[in-house]
Amino acid sequence: MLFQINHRTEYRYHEPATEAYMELRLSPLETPWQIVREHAVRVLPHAAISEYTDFFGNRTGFLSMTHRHDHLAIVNELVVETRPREISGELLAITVGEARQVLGSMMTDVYDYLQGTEAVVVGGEAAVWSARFLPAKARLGEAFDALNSAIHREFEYVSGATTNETPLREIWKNRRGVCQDFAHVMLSVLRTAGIPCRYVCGYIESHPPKNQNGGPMVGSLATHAWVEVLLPGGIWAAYDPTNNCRAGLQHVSVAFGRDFRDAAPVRGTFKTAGGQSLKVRVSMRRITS
Amino acid sequence: MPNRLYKSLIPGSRGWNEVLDPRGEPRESYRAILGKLEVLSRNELRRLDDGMEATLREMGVTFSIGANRAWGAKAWECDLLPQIFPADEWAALEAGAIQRMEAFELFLRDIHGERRILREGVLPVQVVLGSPYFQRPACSLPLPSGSFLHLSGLAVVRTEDGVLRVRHHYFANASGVSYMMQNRRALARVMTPFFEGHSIRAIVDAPTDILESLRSQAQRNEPVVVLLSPGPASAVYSEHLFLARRMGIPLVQGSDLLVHDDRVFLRTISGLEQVDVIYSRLADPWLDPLVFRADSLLGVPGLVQCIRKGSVRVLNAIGSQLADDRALLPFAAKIIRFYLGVNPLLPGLGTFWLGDIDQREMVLSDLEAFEIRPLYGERVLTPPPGMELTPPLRKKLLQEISKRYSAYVAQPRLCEAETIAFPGGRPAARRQDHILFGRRLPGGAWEIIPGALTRVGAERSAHVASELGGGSKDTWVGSPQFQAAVEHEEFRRAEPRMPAHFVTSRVAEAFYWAGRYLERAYSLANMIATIEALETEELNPTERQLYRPVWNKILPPLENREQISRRNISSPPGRHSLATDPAESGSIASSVLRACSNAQSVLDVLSVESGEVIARLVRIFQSRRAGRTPTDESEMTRVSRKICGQIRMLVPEFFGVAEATNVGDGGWKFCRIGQLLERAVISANALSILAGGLLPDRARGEAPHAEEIRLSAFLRMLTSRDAYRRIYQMRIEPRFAAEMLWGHPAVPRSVRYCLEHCRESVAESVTTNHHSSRRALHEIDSILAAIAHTPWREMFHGAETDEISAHSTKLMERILAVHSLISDGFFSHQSGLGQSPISAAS
Repeated sequence: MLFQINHRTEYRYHEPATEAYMELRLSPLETPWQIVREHAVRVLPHAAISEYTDFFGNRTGFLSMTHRHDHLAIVNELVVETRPREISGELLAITVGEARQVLGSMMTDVYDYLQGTEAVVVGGEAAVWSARFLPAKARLGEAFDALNSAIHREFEYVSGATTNETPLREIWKNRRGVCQDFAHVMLSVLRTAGIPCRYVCGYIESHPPKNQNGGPMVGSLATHAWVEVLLPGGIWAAYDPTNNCRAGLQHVSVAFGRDFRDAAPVRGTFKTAGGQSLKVRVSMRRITS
Repeated sequence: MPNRLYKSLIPGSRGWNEVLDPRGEPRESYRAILGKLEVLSRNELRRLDDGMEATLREMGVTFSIGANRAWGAKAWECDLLPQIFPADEWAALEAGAIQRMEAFELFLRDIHGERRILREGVLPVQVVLGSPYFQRPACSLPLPSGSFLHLSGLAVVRTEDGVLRVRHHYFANASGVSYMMQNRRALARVMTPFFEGHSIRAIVDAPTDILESLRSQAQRNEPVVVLLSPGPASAVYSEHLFLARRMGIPLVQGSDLLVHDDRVFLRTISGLEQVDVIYSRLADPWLDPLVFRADSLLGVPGLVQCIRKGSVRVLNAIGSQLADDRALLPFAAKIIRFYLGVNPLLPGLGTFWLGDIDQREMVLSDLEAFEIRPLYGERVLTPPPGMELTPPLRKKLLQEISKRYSAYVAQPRLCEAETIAFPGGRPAARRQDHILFGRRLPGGAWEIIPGALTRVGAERSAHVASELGGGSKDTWVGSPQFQAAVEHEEFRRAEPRMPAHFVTSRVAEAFYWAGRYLERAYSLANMIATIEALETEELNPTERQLYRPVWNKILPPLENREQISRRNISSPPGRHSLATDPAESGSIASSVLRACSNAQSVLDVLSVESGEVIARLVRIFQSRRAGRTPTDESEMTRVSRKICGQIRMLVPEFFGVAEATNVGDGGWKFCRIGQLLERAVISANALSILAGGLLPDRARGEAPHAEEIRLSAFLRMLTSRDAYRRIYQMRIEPRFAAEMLWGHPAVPRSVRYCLEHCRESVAESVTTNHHSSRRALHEIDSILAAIAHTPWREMFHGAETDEISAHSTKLMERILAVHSLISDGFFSHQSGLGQSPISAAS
């Protein structure tokens, strides 16, 4: 499918800012299932962007604005083609125990994707779920599907129910949250079970045209978040617990990391006497199916 | 035959003694110096010790302990008896230290790259990649000359078996070079005869050598090198000051630097200077809020991107701190063997990482025998030796470390060999360790500075760590060839790259705000004192009603003008809180404290004499009584008047003393600019209500008496009634008062006087090639012209009061806006970057 995406992040300051420094993770990786046809990042007021590749492989832009400004907008415009992402049944038929052994031997490379972080706490409730869904004998494909569905079933998607600061244990307790929380829950279970996995930030087509493939998806007007699990052989499989599906044709992945902090699409620091308000809008329109 | 001096200190069963051999005789290297000490009387020894203390204090060597240390930096102590390393022993130590530094350099490069040592299973992955000091962003950063470490330290300790062992790594952040040098300077000054007959290697050129290493990193000729410090809150700020001065490079804080166009600039009052090399004394997590801790105010946003793009070099490289993680100490021998293929020359002190279950169980089963420390830093969790690990203490300790065992290591307790020190001139047994310092030469090889910082425990039984107080020893390294014994005060001076008058914007801005807030406090104190006098002594109740409506507006304008509310000063409690309450916006207390915190942030460039006045100002509001509100109104009045009186004396004293004692460079000038601009604002603000509130209310048929009272109070509050009488020698009339306070060239309160003198100081700070700072001058000129062209007398005669008010208010607002121009031109450099500001304050 071919999509046109427009993602606008806008800061408005209560008092003009004299300096702003931003890091942008807005450049989707080119993969066989994700071809970037057009891509442009615009900054208003204008600022030059210099690029580098971060620790997690994200193409990252840096900009500094060192003159007085009262608002700052970053517009990411994309045309992306998505293609089916097949994962061999053989890989998914490996058992959790076998996978853990294979991946454990690659510790030096997968270490970061096995550790808890401040946002993705391992253990606790996650240990109960990990024993329930990821026993050593279970086959990967079935186990991941079951975990994905369970999160979707037992957690309620409530827009605005949580903030970036809501600790994971509260999400576990209240069983509600947004896509970011669903992803963190899944990561915490997988990492507790010793399965390397990462956080994905991206876009999702939430309202496909009528009479087309794919039903409506949750994720809507902001960026979306899901999870990728590392399979033996270094293949990543993508799961979207918010929508109880594998991430597929309607998902465009943009940035990866251990948790939402690593993969934040726009992150900045400002020098201003007052506060600021943030507005994010994403539109994803299907051009062809 | 043991000498009387240290007879009582014969080691006996305690093992190795640094100074005495097992028979109690001085060791060869100490024989000469002990011979000189033992002929001195107790009194003479005490006098010498006092001399050392006085000398170090005079040199300004301090070391802060504890959190509450704004003014309480602790003086540094250096013992009379130096530590002496004979040349052959030093050579072995040197080789061992270099070997470790080389091995850990290779380790850092490997971990941030291929990770061979992990892939080959030599080290557990968890210890390395799980270290809180492993910085992922460092993995792809270019290294200065290909190396992480350039200026490193290493702590060694001699254990009771007489063997020197490595105790801590200070590879990333080596603190103490300046203390090492100051010890030598002080000892050479006080104990000059002691050096005779000794051949000691010189350390005096260490800073110049370090500068050479730093400059060799730069890609430009004439590079700008700066020392980045966390600021005066750092316990070792006096070291940062010493090194920066000796190297002739700017000592900066994060807010002095600005990232633009992938380059780092130093903000100075004459514009932006590109920075080539940063000698960082800031730990990695604080360096760049965009990459590391977002809450860091000490760092420079965007710095890491400049490193990535290669426009700036930061030493030691980001990521180096991993090598100092104590959890790696147990693996040091493996690391040396893995990278260098040889055995360690210098053994390590037995260290156990509590993150490893076997090591942990070993330690916990015999807890009394260990010192528990975090992975980094100088804290010790176990009780100091001499204090028993009682069951409650043990429980508390276990509670703390069990939260995260992996954050702690254990090292044997009381393992240090003893030495002899002369605290207060009396010989006593002490424990000690030594920090060695190395620098990478421009060619890439390591050189160990031939000296050390020897840290001495406060008591025989105490820990050895500067964080815990205690003292130090000058450290002599014997020279194989004969060298001039006494260290000369002269040293190779570095050629400073920055001009002599160079002042950073942060310093200028702090001075500026100190000046503004002090002037504000002073004006307010005059106003409140006047009101107190009028209210309590001079006016009757009817008369008070006549001037009260206006006084409120005369008070200095609040910064946050949206919040402005009428301040209630018609009662003693209102005036008391406006004088003493630091929480009340715009109060004398809050203005003074803000002024003082600005002044204290630039203490290193403020004269000691003016610093003392600042300390006295702070004390007014820090005394215990200031926190308590009296209940009785007459007591409140007494306190308000007393404080106003003190401020009215101390603020002018500060400006006077500062003028008389500060080095007249550009930084101090901004204090005066702030003072004059603030006074101009306060006068203009008061004048803008003159027309509105002070003219007689003809509609109500007011008596001239009412006007007289108001105008007299008005001029007194602005400390200008006396000036008016001298100039006009007649009753007070609004038109003359306006004419005088707006435009008189010689009345210190007049707007014209303030702006003209302010202009003079600004003009001295403008450099010819710096256009943006000229805008402030043009605007001041234009305001002065507008004041000069206003026919004040005629206006009050003919024009409507509204018209006068509008005209005055407009002038006042233009004066307020001069601040933005000064700020843009000298502090924030808004317009200096080739981009036009979207909306300059106009």
